[in-house]
Parts: sequence; C-alpha cells; structure tokens
Amino acid sequence: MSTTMRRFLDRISLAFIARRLLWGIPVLLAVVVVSFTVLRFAPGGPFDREKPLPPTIMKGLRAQYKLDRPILPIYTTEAKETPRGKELAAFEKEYSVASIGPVRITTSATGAANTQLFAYLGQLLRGDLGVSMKYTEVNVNDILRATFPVSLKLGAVAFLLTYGIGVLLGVVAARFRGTWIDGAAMVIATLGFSMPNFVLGAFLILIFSLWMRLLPPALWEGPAYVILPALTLAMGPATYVARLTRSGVLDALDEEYIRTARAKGLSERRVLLKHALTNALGPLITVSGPLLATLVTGSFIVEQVFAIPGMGRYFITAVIDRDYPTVMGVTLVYAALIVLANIVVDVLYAVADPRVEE
Amino acid sequence: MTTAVTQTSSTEPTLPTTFWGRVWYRLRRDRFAMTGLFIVAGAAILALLAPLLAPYSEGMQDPGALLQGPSVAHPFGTDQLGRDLFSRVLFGARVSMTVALLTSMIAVALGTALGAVSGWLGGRIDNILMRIVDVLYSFPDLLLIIIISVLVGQGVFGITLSLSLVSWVTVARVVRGEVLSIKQRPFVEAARAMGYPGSRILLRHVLPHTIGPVIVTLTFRIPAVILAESTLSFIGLGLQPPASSWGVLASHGWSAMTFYPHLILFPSLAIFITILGFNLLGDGLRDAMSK
Repeated sequence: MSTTMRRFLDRISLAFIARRLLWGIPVLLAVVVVSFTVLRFAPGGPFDREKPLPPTIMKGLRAQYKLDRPILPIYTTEAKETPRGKELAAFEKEYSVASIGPVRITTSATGAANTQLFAYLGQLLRGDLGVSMKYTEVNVNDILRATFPVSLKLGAVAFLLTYGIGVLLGVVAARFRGTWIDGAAMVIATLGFSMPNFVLGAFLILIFSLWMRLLPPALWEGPAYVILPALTLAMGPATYVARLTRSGVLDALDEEYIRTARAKGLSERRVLLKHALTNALGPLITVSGPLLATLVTGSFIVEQVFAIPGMGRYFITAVIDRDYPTVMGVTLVYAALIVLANIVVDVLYAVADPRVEE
Repeated sequence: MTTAVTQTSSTEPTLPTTFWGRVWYRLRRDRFAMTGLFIVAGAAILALLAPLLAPYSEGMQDPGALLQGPSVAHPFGTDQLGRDLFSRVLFGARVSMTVALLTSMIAVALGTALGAVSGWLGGRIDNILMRIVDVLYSFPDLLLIIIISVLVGQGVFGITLSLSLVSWVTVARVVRGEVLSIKQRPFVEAARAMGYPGSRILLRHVLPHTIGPVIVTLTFRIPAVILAESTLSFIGLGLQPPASSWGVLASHGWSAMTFYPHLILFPSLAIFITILGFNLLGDGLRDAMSK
C-alpha cells in the first residue's frame, strides 16, 4: 500500500497543479465580471416595491448600496464632457477603436475605483461578499456559511449514490451481457437519463411520501430527509455512469489479460471487480468533473422541489428579488467548486496517465 | 435530401452506397432508434396539428368541470379553471418544441461558425475562443441561463436567446475538433495545392464533412434544451404565463400535487417521453454514423 501511495505522490507534479490553480483565477474573475455586468444591467432592482418607495428614501438606499455609481469603468457620458474624454472620443473616432475595455477608457484611477464593479472586486479581495439587499441585516458570507453545508451534504450523498448505483448497474449489466438483465438495466439507464429532476422528484414524492407515507416529502430535519432529494439528484448522472461502466467493463472482458486472469483460476467476481472494472476507471474519473457540475445545477431544482434550505434555493429567491450580492455570492461559490473539481479531475487523470501532462 | 436518398436505398438489398443510405439502413435495424424516431415524429405531428387535434380550445374554461380527474370527455382531466389538460398539453407541445428547435438551430449555427473558424484558423483566435469556452464551462449552465434571462426577458424570445447563448459552446467544441482533424486530411492539402482560397476550402471541402457529428449534436441538443426550458419554467424562472410550455403546466400542477396528481403527471410524462425519444434517436444516429 505504501509503495502505491508513494508512486501516486511521485507522479503528482506540483508545477502542474500550480499552473492549473493559477489558471482558475482569471476564469473566476471572468465569471464574476460577466455575471455582475449582466445582472446589474437587468431591469428591476432590489428596492422595487409594488408601492414604490418615496424618491428620497430610494435615493438614500441606492447611495448606501452604491447603486447610484456607474456600473462599469467604460466610457460614460460624464467622461465625454471632460477635456480628456473629448480627446479620447476624437481619437477613437479617428481610428475607429471600439470604446469598450476598461483600461484605456476610464478617465482616472479614482474614476475606475468608483464604479460598482471595481468596488465589488475590491470587496471580494478582502473576502467580503457584501450585505444582502433583501435581508439587510445579514452578510452574504453568513448566508453562505449557513446554507453551503446543507447543499454540500446533499451533493456529497448524491455524488456517492451516483457512483454507487451507476457502477453497480453497469457491472451487473456487463456481467449478464445480452440477457434480459442487461436489457432491463440499460432500459432503466435510458429512462433515468431522460427524466428531468423535477419530474423524478415529483414522482418519488407522490409514491414514497403521499401514497406509501414512508419518507418525508420536504424540508431538512434529519437523515430521512436526505434520501429522496439525493436520489432525485443522483438518478440522471448515475445512469450515465452505468453506461460508461458497462462499456468499459465489456471492452475489458474481450482482452487477453482477462483470459489470463480467468486461466489463473480467479473467481468471476474478482475478475470483474478487480481486473475489468479497472479498465472503466479512466472514463469514470474524466466524467466526475462534468458530473459534479450536473449535480450542482440539479441542486437548484431539487432544493426548490423539496424545500431544502440550501444555497440553490436562496439563489432562486435572490434572483427574483434582485438581491445582487446573494446572487453573486452563490454564483461565485458554485463556479469555484466546478473549477476546483475540474482541476482535481485533471490531476487525477494525469496521475492515472502520465502522458496527459503537458 | 435525406429522404430522397433513403427512398432509393431502402429498395436495394445490399448495403447502400451513399453515406446517408448506409445511416438509414443501420438506423432502420435499430429498434430503440426507430422507437425514438416514432416518438419524435409523433410529438412533432401532435404539436403541428394541435389546433385540429385538441378537443377544446387552449383557454376554454368550463366552470362546471373544475379539477376533474381523467375521463372520456377530458382524457387528462381539467385544471382549477376547468381547462382541458389534454388540449393544454397539445398546445404546450408547440411552445416547448418551438423553443427547443429555435434554440438548437441558433446554437448549432453559432457553434458551427465559431468552432469552424476557430479550428481552421488556429492561433490567437482559436486561443481566445477556447478561453471563452473555458469560462462558460466553469459556469453552472442553468445559473448562467437564469442570469441572462433576467436581462433579456422571460418571454419565448428571451428564453430562447438565453438558452442559445449558453448552448452553442458544446457545438463549437465538437465542430472545432472535427475541423482540426479534417484539416490534416490529404484532400485539404490537394485543395490548397489547387490554389483555392482558405474560405472556399473551409466551406466547400471541410464543413460538409462535419455534418454527421453536427446532426448527432443537434439531436442531443434538442432534448437538453427541452429539459433546461421546462426546468426553468418549473421553478418559475423560465417562461411566464400565459405562455404555457410543458414546464409551465407542470409547475402549475406541482402546487396541487397532493390532491390532484393528474395535473403534474401528464405534462411531466409529455416532457419525459419527448426527451426519451430524442435521446433514443440520438443514440441510434451516433451508432449508425460511427460504424
């Protein structure tokens, strides 16, 4: 075991990991800038009410949350009126340069720092996600601290279920290739692959909660509450894993080393689980990154369907309320999670196959 | 084009000589794929002929028949306003399929153009495009769609636009990969030797070879879009009533699920079966083209 471990560690190149981690920074920055910009230019605002607030109060609120500042450090009408702005405008007209891009166009460093985007980025650098504009007493950091563990637990159980169900289904199908068991397993896989989360969730609630009264239909109050949502979340990805496992194992079963293993007198179970399954491992590692992204996306719906107080559910209400800091916070956490997962997958893949690196 | 080829090829006993002939030949022998094709064609016909087939008009309310279960008069039952659910599901098919087809076609057009240019030119343009793809892949896609749809609106147009802006990425990746490998083939070199301009080689010689993978991608894009749209509509961030796609109908059914399960059952089944059909067809097409 220890030699395997050492070999594993030897193969991990720190430079490779560092390079991948560093590349994650501009990616996340782009995610923040894009979602921030799109969100702020969207119609509506966090302080819109059916009965509009008095103008002075609205003005005060907007000032307090810096919503009255320019959104992006691009050419604003005010900038055009300054002498430098006029000069720049003439220059751009003459050389037909597009006037987007933050660097050249802002009039001054203080002007850029004064925009909402840069204010937010500065805040992020200090690790502060800002105060929610809906629950004005609460910092988004605290909201995430309360809701992230819930989402994480749901996601982790679903991740385990995905691979548990998927590998089991795939190996069984491969073992009984061509029989009705294989057929049934693959029919289940195809059905599960085409079933939207909310449809499966609704059916599971109907069957197990409303008709059989076995499991709670909603909320988050104990281990029993995890089962249905995690199953809902895992079913689609699990069927995908099942297909991959089946084809990987079937490919291996035709190989000569399997014949050798059988000739050695190994039990069929050992041949399947140890020798053939190893062959399916590569693709299974590769898809774990995208699968995690699928689970993340699915968690919005599942948390909403089962009324689970996780990040995804907060995201949905926050979008409707235009609670910018909360939307941004959740987006950032999810994106970071996906970036990180992809790095882990790349590293695992490089370990499994040293040729991948570079 | 496809149908013309298939008609001539289906009469031949030996393996057809044209690419499409062979694809159709294999497809016909694939039971799952034919089931898929049958479902897809059926859904398309039902959506097209909805006004003729629906027993009631879309918005007709019958105050005497509120929240009834399935019956002969109302095969799928009625909702809280006495509207016939069967008719609503038929009309919903039009909305769901319109969004799915439009989105997939925009995504394929955009993805093919960007992917082809990127793979063909390589260098800096390729680099920039791949970085954009990197960023988009780090976004949980549903989240990005939601954020964009907040900006562009949540009508049929807005939802189609936001779904398209996210789903071209997969297509671009596929096409770029294909173009990169086709670029190395001898006939491209021959075309260059003939002195053809790059744009002509790309359009006339390289792109036609990507049509197979593009069609497979399209077939898988459509169910993915149906899924995304219905999911968004279900959680209330997609299409807004009165536009009633299957997702909107399912969303209405959700709130009354405890007592009137038929309201969520039938729209959900419509979504599920349609997605299943496209996936079966896509699987079959991929197998038939890769052999």
